[in-house]
Amino acid sequence: MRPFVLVAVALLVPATAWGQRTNPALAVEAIPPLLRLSNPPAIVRAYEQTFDIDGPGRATETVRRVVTVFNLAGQDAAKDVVYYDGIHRLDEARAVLYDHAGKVVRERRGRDFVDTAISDGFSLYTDNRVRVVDVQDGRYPYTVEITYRIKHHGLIAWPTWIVQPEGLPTEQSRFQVSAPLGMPVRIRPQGNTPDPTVATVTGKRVYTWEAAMRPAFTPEPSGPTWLRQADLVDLAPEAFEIGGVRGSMATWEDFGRFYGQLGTGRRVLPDAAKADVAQTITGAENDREKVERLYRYMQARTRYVSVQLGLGGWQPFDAQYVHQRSYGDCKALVNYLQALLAEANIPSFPALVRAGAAASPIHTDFPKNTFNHVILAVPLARDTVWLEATSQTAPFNHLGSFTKDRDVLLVTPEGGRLARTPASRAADNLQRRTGTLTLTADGTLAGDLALAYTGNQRDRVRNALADASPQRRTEWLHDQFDGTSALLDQIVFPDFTAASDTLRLGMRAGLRRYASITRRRLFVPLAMERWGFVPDAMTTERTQPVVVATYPFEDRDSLAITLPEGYRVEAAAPPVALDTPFGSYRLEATVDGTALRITRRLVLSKTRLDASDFTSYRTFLERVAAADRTRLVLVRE
Amino acid sequence: MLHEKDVLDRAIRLETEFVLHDAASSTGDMLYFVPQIFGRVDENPLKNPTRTFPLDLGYTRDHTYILALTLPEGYEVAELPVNRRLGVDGVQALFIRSVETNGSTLRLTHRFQLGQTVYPAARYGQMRRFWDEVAAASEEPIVLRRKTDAPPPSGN
Repeated sequence: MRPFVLVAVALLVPATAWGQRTNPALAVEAIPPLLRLSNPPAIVRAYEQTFDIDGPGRATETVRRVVTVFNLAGQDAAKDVVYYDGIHRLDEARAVLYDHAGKVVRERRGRDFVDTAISDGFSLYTDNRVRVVDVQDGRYPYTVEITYRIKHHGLIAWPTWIVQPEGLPTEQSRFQVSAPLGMPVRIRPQGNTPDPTVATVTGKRVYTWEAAMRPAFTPEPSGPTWLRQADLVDLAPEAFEIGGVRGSMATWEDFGRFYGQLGTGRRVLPDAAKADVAQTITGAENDREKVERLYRYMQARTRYVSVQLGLGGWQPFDAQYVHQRSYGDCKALVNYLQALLAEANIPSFPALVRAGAAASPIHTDFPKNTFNHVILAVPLARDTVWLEATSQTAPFNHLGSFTKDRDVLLVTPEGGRLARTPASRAADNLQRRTGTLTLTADGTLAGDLALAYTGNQRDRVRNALADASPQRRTEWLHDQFDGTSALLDQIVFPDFTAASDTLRLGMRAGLRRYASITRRRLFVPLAMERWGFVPDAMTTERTQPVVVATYPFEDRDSLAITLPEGYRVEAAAPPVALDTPFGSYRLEATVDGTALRITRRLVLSKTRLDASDFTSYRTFLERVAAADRTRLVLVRE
Repeated sequence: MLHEKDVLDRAIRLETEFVLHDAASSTGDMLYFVPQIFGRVDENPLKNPTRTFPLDLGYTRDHTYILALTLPEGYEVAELPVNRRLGVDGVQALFIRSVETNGSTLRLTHRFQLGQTVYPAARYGQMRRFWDEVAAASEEPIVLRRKTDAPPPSGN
């Protein structure tokens, strides 16, 4: 290992030794051959990240990244997209291009880079910007050295060191954190990470992590997200400061208290709102009904509008403002709803959540802010009601795959408390299709179809259709038919604003060439929809766990088809029944005279399997896909 | 085997030997085999019933598929896909399928040709039906029957 250590030391010398226009340590020749064995498109030669903390709200972060690019596929690795805003200020960025021998070819800095305002896609206004720090060359291989510095004037999230990026080997990686002696640094290592060395230098505790010669991480099909598997060191403060407000995240209780304090004094309703509350709950039989009525009241009079600026990313608009203007972001609407419920003497708690169907769960044993959304929890006598305040059309007490089945932080008057949002069962997320149809000898299948969607599947369909134009809705419906084209009429769409948890669609469908025909035979598909997803087979031994579905679901089809006269069954389809701990499948077809009855049921659970179960998972889906292609063969008599 | 991968003005050629499990389904004396093993056009991409703007496919295409098949011993042809030739009036769109048998061998040719990049909206309905026919034809099987004088396969 000794030669590598020498290389590593050479790389750590900043290439700003500008007198020398060649840095032999960056030559392609200097790359340890071991790292090139897998023939990667790029190699990280050196990654150095520092985080120098001056106080709860002040720190300087620097990054230096050196990457050698071998071909076009590796080009993106030679680019950093740096996010910054009014609190996290990017004050220096530089990119230097080296040729294969390590000789400087070109340098870019400051205004040479693309620098642009960015939108998160839903906020009305933010001050977020990005600078694209890059320099490229068409002559491979080349090496790029990227450096930048960010000054934090307000800090709620400390950085994470990811030892090596996804998919690229890494020669050398280093992370240095320094903090004033009185400021504890909380550390969560994940995966294969070294222990830090700790030293005290001029009144600061300095932690240094170093790693070298890391092979590329290769994701496996249907594996967990990269961030769950990456080797990383996560950092979090105890004391922090943002927008002049101090807080602590030493414990969840502390962090909840910080969030709660931002809403203090902001839940005073104007008299008009109080009168509305009194009127709305008049005659309600119990608290649950009051909650539902007030939720409907809030949905009817507010819209979601997001503005995220500085502390405004944290502090809600006050309830009076929301009542008068009828808009707010998630925290403002939750705060308003909380005020409405309080007026009816019903206590409720904001619940901070990491939202997203495939979001990484929070680490319950490592208090840190990774939340990006807030909902409202209302504890009632029997159970807790969960309310999504940003939707005008969500059913009462309905969480979508965006927020359900995960740990959240309840903000109570006593501070933060972990809780869990409800999980759903497959039967809660149901797609049901029933049809009464007639098959003609030319292969056309025609008749009435009824589709019903519940739970998360309802959300899926609602999200696609609720705001779509009539034409787009019709197009979506046509897209639902695999194979040959569909002619649909007498389409009945539901009221997408209705509070019901089930969406029902009806139509008259004509499916041309649904069955394949030859001169004497008809080949009738048994499944209207062919399962398409089968993960690639492993060519190496499976090492990663298997993630099955982002939410559990059940699909049920039930078709009654009248077959044309004059045919007999030449090949019947034997029933298929597959049962596994993670999913099940049934396909049955019976023929009685000209009456064909088909039932199909697919259930998948939301679960995580051991690596050793990958083959059975894949085999199950492969069998489902094969069964869905089964065809009944009829021959003319 | 991949040929001509890096020669820009030549077609890429891929040669491979393979075994396809469960390629045919069987019931009793019958065997059903969909001969379009590769590049099956089993989905009509033209989902919308109507269209206002021209259909822009991005590039022209010409798919030819030729299969020389040796029938399994002890089986005879019960039914073959019919020969077909389909087109769309006034535009360049063509589908041809022909099947010939010669004793225990069978030769099947598919050709699916879209000679225009852009098709006028006025032809959309016909293009949609044409594509339906191509998709349906790609799914049509060869039907084989065990010869009456052949012994049943062992093991059953």
